[in-house]
Amino acid sequence: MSDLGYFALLLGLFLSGYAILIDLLGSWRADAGLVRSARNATVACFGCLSVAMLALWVLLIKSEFAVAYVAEHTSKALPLPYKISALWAGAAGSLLLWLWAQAGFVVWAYCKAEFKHRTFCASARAFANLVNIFFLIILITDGNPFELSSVVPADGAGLNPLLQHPAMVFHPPILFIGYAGFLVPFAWAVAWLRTNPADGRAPLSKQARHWTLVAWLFLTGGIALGAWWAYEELGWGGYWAWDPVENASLMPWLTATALLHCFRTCKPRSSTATWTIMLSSLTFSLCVFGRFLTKYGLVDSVHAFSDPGLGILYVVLLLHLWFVVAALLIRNYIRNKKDTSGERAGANVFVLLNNWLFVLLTFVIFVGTLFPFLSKVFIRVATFLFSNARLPANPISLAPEFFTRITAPGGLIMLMLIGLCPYLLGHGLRKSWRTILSGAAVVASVTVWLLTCSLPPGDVSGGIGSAGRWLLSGSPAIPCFIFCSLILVNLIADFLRYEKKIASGRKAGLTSPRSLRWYGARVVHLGVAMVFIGIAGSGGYGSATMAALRPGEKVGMGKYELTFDKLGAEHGPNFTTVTAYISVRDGDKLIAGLKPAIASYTPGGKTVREIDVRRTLAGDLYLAMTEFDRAQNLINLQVLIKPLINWIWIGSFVMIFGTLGVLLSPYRRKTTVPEDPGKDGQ
Amino acid sequence: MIYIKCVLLAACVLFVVLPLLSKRSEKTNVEKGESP
Repeated sequence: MSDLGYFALLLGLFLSGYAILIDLLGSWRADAGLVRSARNATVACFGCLSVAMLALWVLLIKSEFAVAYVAEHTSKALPLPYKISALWAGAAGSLLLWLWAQAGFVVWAYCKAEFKHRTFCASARAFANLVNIFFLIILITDGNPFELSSVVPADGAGLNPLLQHPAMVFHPPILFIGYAGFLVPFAWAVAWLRTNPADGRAPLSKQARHWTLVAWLFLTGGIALGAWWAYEELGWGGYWAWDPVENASLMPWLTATALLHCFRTCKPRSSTATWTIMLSSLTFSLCVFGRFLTKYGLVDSVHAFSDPGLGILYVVLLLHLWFVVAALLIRNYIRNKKDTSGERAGANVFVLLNNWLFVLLTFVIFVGTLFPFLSKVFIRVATFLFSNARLPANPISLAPEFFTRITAPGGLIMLMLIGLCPYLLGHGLRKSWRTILSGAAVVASVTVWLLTCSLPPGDVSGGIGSAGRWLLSGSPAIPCFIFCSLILVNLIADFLRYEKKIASGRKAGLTSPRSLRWYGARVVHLGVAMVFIGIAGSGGYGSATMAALRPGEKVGMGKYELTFDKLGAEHGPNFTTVTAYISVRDGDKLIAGLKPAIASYTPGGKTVREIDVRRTLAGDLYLAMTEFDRAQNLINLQVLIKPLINWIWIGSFVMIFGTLGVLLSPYRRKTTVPEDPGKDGQ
Repeated sequence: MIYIKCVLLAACVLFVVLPLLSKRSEKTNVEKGESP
């Protein structure tokens, strides 16, 4: 089976190379037969990659430890779902999955387009296959998942216990499918550059937006699942640690969000066209860069793979991609410089503002992520130039608080834009209760933030009572709540206005189906507001304590009283847990029995904290046992209260639900819905 | 396993080469949307 998988990869490599050459030749000679042959080669390449994936799955499920990848990531006792998910547990398998998804997206997007777009699709396909061939070369030469072990072990090393969690069955593939999907808009942008965007046509632009939205949907889902996994499995009570690889998934999400808004107003011969091309290129490049960070270990990360191997090839790939983009941009610039005919369309100021905001946030996170590497380079250069300079010996890493502080204003501006833009785009500044409310919200947010930030933490208590003290303790969260309320009010007003329009249209005898696209875009914005409520609540008003407890002893936390009852043991198929039984009381009433544990996995005896949580919409009571001593019946218990945190997961689900609504709305058919009152949308 | 490999190879080759052998591989101005 490993032979078949490797053979399929080699065949896929050959087919990709063939498809590039024949697509370029076919589009140059306008030969439909050649273009069709290249299209079939792309489909066949996807077929070969599917065969390779299936072969690896069969090997993993059958526990064929003769294959090194199988021996390193599975064991005989591993439950079947985790044997299946072991495909993306290692560098080689995850790259194969990414490549397979990428090839699938290319087939879906560029192999079934209308006849008139065949040349355009051929250009896009050739570029996408160029990326695929790079990935295939890396896969075959550096991390071949079908490589045989020199010694066949009796049992495998097993899957990392941290990855044995339901979220980890879904998080990596969803994230990788998202990354892979961004190749489609990138290839579209390059094909558009090749045809010259200044000639007044934008072939397949609506479809490109649709594909971008599909990739964005997967990336959003992947990031949300990853955050949930971190919260549930890592046992530190957080969901986002600003780890380099987490940042590497956030950066393309930010640029892709800007891209989606840019697509909305993208017209040939406008500055938005350049923005669209640049953002498409930047988004996929950041995805590849994330892969490079994981593989090459440029900066330390909990997600990084241990062996850098030929990870540097990703940089080579990025250089090639940007060389192609730069060459086409320069060619078009020179060509269009001479062309003074025709008017150039202006760009929407809100879209530009949105783009700059997202790009700036991405840049800040990018610099922060690479700061340890940049500081290392700086220290080495400075030491070389000035031998007596007093410099730190080790690279400087930035604490998570740095990222939180530096991105918080950007996040608040983003919320403000979500709250204000739909209204301002639809109606402009005029006398109405919404204008007054919007102005008041902005003034109140800025005032509260400036006031509370300027005071030392101890001084916010003067004469305002315990409720006010508690509210002001999470000062940066208050503007966030104000803007989220503004978004909610504006969305409700928009919904009511839209329904009124539809009703009036029906009275006038017009058939007016509701536009899923219109609703979906607003539901996504509602989801974003919910996520921010969760972030602000859990970040601004959370509390934590640590207690060493013996059976019968109690610890208080907020309104809760926790009693450690006993220590017990439980056995699973490939693990044993030591469990602490904790009774939770609110006053005299017993409200929950929680069982935080420490699990020891076989083989290897790696231990993992298994947390337990009491969930409510108002917040979580989060318990993690950090240590235990069976001889003395003693445990160390970490207790956290995370207010509103579940709104992050609910908001993420709402965002996905809204995006599905937009995607289900057909982009080819024009609806007969009355004029969109907001004229924005996502 | 060798048979499966041969079938895979043959299927791919046929799938890729057939459009080249087809009579429909005449030149066409694809941008105008004319079907060959």
